[in-house]
Amino acid sequence: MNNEMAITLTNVSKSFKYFSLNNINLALPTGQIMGFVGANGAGKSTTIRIIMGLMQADSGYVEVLGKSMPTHQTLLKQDIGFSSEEMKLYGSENLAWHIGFIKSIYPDWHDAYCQKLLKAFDLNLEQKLKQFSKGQYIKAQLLLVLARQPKLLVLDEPSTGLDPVARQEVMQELALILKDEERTVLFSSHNTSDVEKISDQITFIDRGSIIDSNDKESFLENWRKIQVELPVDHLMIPIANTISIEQEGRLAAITTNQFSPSIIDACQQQNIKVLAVDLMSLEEIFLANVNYRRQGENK
Amino acid sequence: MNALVNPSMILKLAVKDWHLFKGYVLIYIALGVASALFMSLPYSFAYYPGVVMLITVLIGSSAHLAISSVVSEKKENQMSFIMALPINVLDYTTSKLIGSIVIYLICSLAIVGATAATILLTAHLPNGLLPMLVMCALEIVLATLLILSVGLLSGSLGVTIVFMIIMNIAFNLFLTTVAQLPGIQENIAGPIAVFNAPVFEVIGIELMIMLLAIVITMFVKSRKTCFL
Repeated sequence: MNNEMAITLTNVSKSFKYFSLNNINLALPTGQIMGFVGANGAGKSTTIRIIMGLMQADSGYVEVLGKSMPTHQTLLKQDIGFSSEEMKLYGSENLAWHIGFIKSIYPDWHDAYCQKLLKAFDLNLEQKLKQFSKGQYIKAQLLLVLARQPKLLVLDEPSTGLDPVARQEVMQELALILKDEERTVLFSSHNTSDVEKISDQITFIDRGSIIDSNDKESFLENWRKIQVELPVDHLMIPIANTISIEQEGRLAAITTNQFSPSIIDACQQQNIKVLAVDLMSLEEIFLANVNYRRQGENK
Repeated sequence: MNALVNPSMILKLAVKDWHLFKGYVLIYIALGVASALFMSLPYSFAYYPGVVMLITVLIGSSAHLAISSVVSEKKENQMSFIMALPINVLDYTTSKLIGSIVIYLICSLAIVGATAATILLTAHLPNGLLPMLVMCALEIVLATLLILSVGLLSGSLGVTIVFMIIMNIAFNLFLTTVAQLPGIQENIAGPIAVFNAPVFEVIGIELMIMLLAIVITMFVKSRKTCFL
């Protein structure tokens, strides 16, 4: 793994009237794909706008591809491909016109790769963009970004608003493309299954703060839900590294973010019968993480 | 502060806007020429409706360009696409301000040129109208520039439309005031186009305000590092 950082955010904060981004620290190594997960309004798009140099942070430092943002935004945007759910192309023009426009701006435009993507995405060059379905529209946006072969790809909710079929198509194509390429990707979504499929690194954001960040394997390895049966009249004694315990009668589910055999040992020392140790999906991990942090905030 | 601009990108953005607007420019030129021809018909009922049609086309095309070039692009989120390109705020502002006014000038010059030719070639239209034509056309160019500036600085469709209406009212005041100015009034119906000191003073003031609008808009925008 390359130790160079494609994106580094250090203590970045930004305040609005009803929302603030608090002390964001984020590091994405070159060549990695980071899934940036958060609920709607968590701060994903604001963070991405700051990374793209479209918005100035109130404080903190942003470095992208080794240069500070937004100071070097013009230069850096040559090497960054940005696509966002809210981004709209010119509906009255066709895809060929958009390709011509982008090609005239980016010298690294790759015609052969563009043709390959056109075929893979099954897009019609002559069709006006206003006649595209949402899925085709997203694919067209991705084509315009990918065929430039940028060093860094920033995708803000690319699968949002798509029907399940279109979403699957887009995600499958994206996964294939990203597998083939050695490029750094920051990919935001509130859809954890999309993120789980293609990411190496995962960062959770909630209420304007980063609540957890790690590589995907570590998340999936460390988080477990342990189903236990308590002895009669036994109150659950807190066990180290557990973040939540849901108890219903004698049955309880312990969620841990630092799973190790010592937790099982601790249960057994309390005469607690371990029924099952389940892996958790990224969605379950995200929800457990958010609830744990929010409970901490409310205390 | 982003003081440097990228002329190549500014040109590409302006060419993009020209491509998006050129169909409308051709329609407006056709309507303007038709209005000028209507004005020249040898019937008493034709002149005033022709003038109104001409002014409507010049003002309407100005408003259309200013609104769709600056405000609609932002409202329809095409701005997100543009912001992601390797440009800064000043590149964008320059392309919109200068590019859009050049596009409008192509439209306006064609219409004004056709109207001037109609006046010169039509016996019953006095050549004395020519200075008035130039001053009025320039006032509408100035209004276009001011609407573009307000659109760029406010980013608001509502504010821009209100300002556009104010500019339309201002045009009527301009028309009646300038037509009564000594040195201009007495020559309007004359057989010779008189470009005298009062005419050049009005044109000079219009050009100065245009320059001021460009400088102020660019200065304000040059202080913004980011688009949002």
